[in-house]
Amino acid sequence: MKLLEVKNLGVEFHTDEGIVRAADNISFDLEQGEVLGIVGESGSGKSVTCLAMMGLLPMPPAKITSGEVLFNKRDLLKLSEARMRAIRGKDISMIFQDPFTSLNPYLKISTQLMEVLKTHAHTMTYAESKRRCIEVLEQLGVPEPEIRFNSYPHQLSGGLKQRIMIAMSLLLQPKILIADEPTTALDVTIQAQILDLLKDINKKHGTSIILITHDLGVVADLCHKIQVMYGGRLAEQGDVDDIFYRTRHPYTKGLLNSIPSLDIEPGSKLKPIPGSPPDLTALGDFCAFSPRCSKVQEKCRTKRPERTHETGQHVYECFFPYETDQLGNAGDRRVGS
Amino acid sequence: MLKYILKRIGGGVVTLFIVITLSFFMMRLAPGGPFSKDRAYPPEILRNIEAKYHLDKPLLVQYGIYLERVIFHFDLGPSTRYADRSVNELIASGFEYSARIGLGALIFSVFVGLCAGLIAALNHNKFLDYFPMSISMIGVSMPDFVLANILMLVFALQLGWLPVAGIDSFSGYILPSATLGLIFASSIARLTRGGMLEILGQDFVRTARAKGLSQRTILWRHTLKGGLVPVVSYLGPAIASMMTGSLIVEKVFNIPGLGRFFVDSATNRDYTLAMGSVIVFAVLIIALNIFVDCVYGLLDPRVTYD
Repeated sequence: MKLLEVKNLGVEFHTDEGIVRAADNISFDLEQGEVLGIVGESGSGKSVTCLAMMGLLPMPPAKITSGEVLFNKRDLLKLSEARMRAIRGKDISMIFQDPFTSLNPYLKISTQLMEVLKTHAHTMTYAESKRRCIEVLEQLGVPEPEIRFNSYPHQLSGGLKQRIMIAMSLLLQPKILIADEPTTALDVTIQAQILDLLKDINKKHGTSIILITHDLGVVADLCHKIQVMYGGRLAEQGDVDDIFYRTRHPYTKGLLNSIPSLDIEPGSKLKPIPGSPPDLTALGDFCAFSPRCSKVQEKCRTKRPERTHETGQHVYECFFPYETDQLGNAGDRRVGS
Repeated sequence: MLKYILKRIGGGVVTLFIVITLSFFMMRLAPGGPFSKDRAYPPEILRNIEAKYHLDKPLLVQYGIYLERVIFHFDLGPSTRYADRSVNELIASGFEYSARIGLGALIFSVFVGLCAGLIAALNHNKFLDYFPMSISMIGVSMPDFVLANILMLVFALQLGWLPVAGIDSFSGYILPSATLGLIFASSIARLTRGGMLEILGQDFVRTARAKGLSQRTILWRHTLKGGLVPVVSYLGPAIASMMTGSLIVEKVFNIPGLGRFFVDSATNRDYTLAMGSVIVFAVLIIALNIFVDCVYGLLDPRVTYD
């Protein structure tokens, strides 16, 4: 059964420079226990999509122009603020990119953890709540959880802070965990630990996860499904094999090629995608990736590609996709951890 | 924490000593003295008077005598202007009224300022932001003697709700406190708004919302402490100037407060009274700043006292 279904979600920002279509006709779904990776560069609309689902975008300047977000057959976009509050932090919880600024420096960890239970689990006593917090901290490998529980955020390291953030989001065993670039602000060894942790949570508790990242290497190992976004639009969507071995969209291909690999010759250069991210105020009825695309043709600059559905869940928006039936195509290298 | 406070008090004593020394000598550098009048006293009488106030001795000796009296007896000396009254007495009598008005102004300004600032911050860029902020702009820029007279005209003369001047009853304190308070309230409102807007834009507020907390919990628990830091640092010196009285407000409402001593003593070269006023003001400022720095620690756990 589908746990979450996002249909044709559109989000606009009204700014002084013009209207920014930050998310344009975005659709995806999430099954129970599934991990979805949303990949794209800064400004591609990954975070905006998730913040819109959670009702966390500041409105104005943001405005949701179309679509629905079905969770348990209810459209989250139509729920009142009070009902949405009851879902946030309980059924769907979210962790953010920067654990250094996402925890409140003025409050103890205990306050910030306990208030989740106080808000959503009214029947729990103080002692039960505290036991639950310590238990989750222990599960997440926080050393000396009793001491951390009574600390302030500035007394903890970055990795510990992110573990606290994750603990906070898991206290009530949510159905969906949205992780918005959870490892970007952390150093590489800690990154790996946090990703392992997310994998664990998914396996042990069957929590569905939406992992937002700009690193395709990160998602390969962890995700079942991947959605690649560009300029607020969907570029390509499919299961991990679709994206890695049956790549259709030139942007996905570019992302894959830019991942450093152990097989390449020493001294050879990385292959970046030429050009810079699109100006979202200037996007019109044409392919957003066309200015940077190696396969671009006249049609791409004058018309916006339709959504093409392939076998299974594989979807892409491109007039001139890569062929997949040839041997040795995009799938000749597996990128993993 | 105790060590920190003791250290700060030690520093405060040094500051106070420097303030006393500087103002003592600077005042003596100014031409004239307490007994130089248009019509000069006969030389014998002048000598007698000067001898009484030790003004005939060398400057350093005078300084020594003054310090000894202040430090060991807490005695600010006799006033040279108001015969037979000590500076301690004069300041105590004035401070009583100034402190009452100052306390009224403090309560008024904090209440009005915080409310206006919070309302403005929570309604950022809407009418309820622009309206209180325009009023506070007027409050910041309007001189106190204009404000005092407007309030007096409206509430005392037109409406007749409050007495025009004097402090025979409680109601007499309302207008002077409000005048003084409104001026400080304007600054507090602007600082509150600025501080709250900065905190409300922080990532941890988004985290709090993502946890499903209500707007009220987020406001009280997550943002108020941090948002009020700028207000607290402003309140230290602000309380000192509220408590020591405003000459204008006291003149307009005819209150025998401290404010007039500050000005009169300087123009009259009333050395001891001027020094006494300076010391009272300096002590208040130093004490309040230490207090404010301790309050920081209560507000922000990242502040350490080593």
